[in-house]
Amino acid sequence: MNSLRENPPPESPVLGGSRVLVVEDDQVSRSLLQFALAKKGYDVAVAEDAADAREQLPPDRIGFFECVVTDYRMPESSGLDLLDWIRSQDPSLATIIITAESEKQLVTRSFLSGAVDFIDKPIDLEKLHTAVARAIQRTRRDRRLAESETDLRNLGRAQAWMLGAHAAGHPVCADVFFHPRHEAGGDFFSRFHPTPDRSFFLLTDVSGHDPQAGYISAYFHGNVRGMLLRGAPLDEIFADFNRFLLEEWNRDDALSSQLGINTSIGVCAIAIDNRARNATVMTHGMPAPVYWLPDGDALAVGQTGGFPLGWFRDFAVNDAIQSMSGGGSFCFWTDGLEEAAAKAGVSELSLAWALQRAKLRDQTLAEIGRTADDILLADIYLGPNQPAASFRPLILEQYHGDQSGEIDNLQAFWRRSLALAAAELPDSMLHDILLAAREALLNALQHGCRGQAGREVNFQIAYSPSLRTIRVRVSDPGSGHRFNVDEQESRAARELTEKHRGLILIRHLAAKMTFGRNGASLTMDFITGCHCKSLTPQQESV
Amino acid sequence: MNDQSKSSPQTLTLRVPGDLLSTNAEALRNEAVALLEGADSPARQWNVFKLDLTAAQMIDSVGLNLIVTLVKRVQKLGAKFQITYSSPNVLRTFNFTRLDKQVELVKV
Repeated sequence: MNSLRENPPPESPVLGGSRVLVVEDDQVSRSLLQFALAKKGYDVAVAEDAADAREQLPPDRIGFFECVVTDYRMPESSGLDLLDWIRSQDPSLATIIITAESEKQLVTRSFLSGAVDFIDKPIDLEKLHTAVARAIQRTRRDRRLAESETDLRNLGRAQAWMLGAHAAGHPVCADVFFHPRHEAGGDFFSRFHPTPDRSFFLLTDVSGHDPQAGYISAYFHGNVRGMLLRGAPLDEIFADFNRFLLEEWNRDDALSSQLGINTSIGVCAIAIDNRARNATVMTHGMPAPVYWLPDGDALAVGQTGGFPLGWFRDFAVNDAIQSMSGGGSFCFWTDGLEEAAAKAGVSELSLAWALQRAKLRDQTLAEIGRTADDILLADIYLGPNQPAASFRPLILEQYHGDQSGEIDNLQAFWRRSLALAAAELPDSMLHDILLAAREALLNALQHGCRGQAGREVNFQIAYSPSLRTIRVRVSDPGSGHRFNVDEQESRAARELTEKHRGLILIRHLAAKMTFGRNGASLTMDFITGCHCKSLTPQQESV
Repeated sequence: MNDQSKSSPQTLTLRVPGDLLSTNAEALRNEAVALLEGADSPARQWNVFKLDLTAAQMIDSVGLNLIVTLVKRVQKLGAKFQITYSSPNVLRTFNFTRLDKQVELVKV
């Protein structure tokens, strides 16, 4: 490299020492530029043409330069060609194009190509110095931004790694999915296994989506881990952190106002006692987790909502104990999943499953688009691995007795949810599931609830991909009643009666149907590739 | 409901614009009753009642009961009941409920 270095003049201490490459095929002009810039304290390298410049800007050295000043008109390759090449190698390196009066039309193209400035010939040295100083500042700013972005990406990768870290061989396992809005976010998941019999799973959602939120989240999780290992109860840990947020972190003083600090933390904790086979669930400002048995029967455990930590001094403990004697699994998530599900018009559980299924993930993320919030969700299984043959809930809803008029919208909601989470279902099976579910729910609303708003139907749809089965459960608070379906069906066909036609339909749509509580509870199975027409429907009373 | 009815010399047609479900069956029932009452005169020309379900993908039990009501009424008039459909799911529903034994089904 040809380099000329002079002592920097006292008037340019800030940019002194910056390395500048001058590309000019005319030797006189090149020397003039080199001398003028070196006199200002720059470390100036020169190149005779674009090819020479490319040789002087290899990948391991281009970062040393902070500005390129290049003539537009050069043999072989123009200044704009060189500019394109520089942009491809290091978009942050600012480039100035020197143009003749007749080349004014190039100015726009130069800016479009990424040049930061241009200089007319003959060169006004004062304008040259101003342009070079501005270009160097631009390069430094862009490189600082790029470094910050890289740091954020690394932080996000570290966060993702921590979320995915798994204690191999532990009797309770977790699958985690994290989709931050930015490179790193405030949602966080931790698992602690203080003893072989005890496991803690902690999901938090810190207000904000920036590194500050990530920092406070990691701080909180570290605190919880340390205090849990010291034997502190979870409710005391949460109460202590609530106090910390209110009295220390969110203290209302000039510095916190200047920094914009006002943090709250939504938290959901599941503490599993593997020996007692139960789980204690605590939620503060978070959705309630869903627990389900291997047969897909699901329920929300604990309270949804409540205040997050950091809002009020009054701190009520919201906990619930769920027996896990029959095995079972949990799924819990931050409110970003709820927002994304609402936007897509699908159930949270179906979106959660679509995101946990690797083969549906990319398409699902593309369909829900850019989310307004981070999405973090975790599945917890009793056992070292996810059970292969168990059911997974896709829809879990409570419907009021007066919702019959909304049945078309409810059906559309089920259709979207199933199409998302069980995209492999054939159209005919989807039709049968939706029709049978519609009939069963209408019957439960009109008869089991007698159309009363104060009575509720529990409605569930679960899926077992390995068993290729969709299971629909509809339970109402009524007393049910018994009747002979065979007799009713024959009569309806023979005499064209209208009674019990919904149940007759269901009987043929489902591969199997099971009554419980004298008919107040109905479970229907639909099996992929095993169409109901080729099956003898099974009826069981339980 | 945008039901359209039209008569040819032998056929009285009632077109259902989409699915036949609990949420639209009552409105269609009123349309159908009005159509049949208007056409039920001693001088009626038609001897086939055609229910056009080619736009339907789903028929629920309330929709089926409406069809049963219409079938009974048309049979009482001594006319033939014909249903046109296009969805295989609709055909299966008629097969399950054995309504295919009571009406003529025509795939379009």
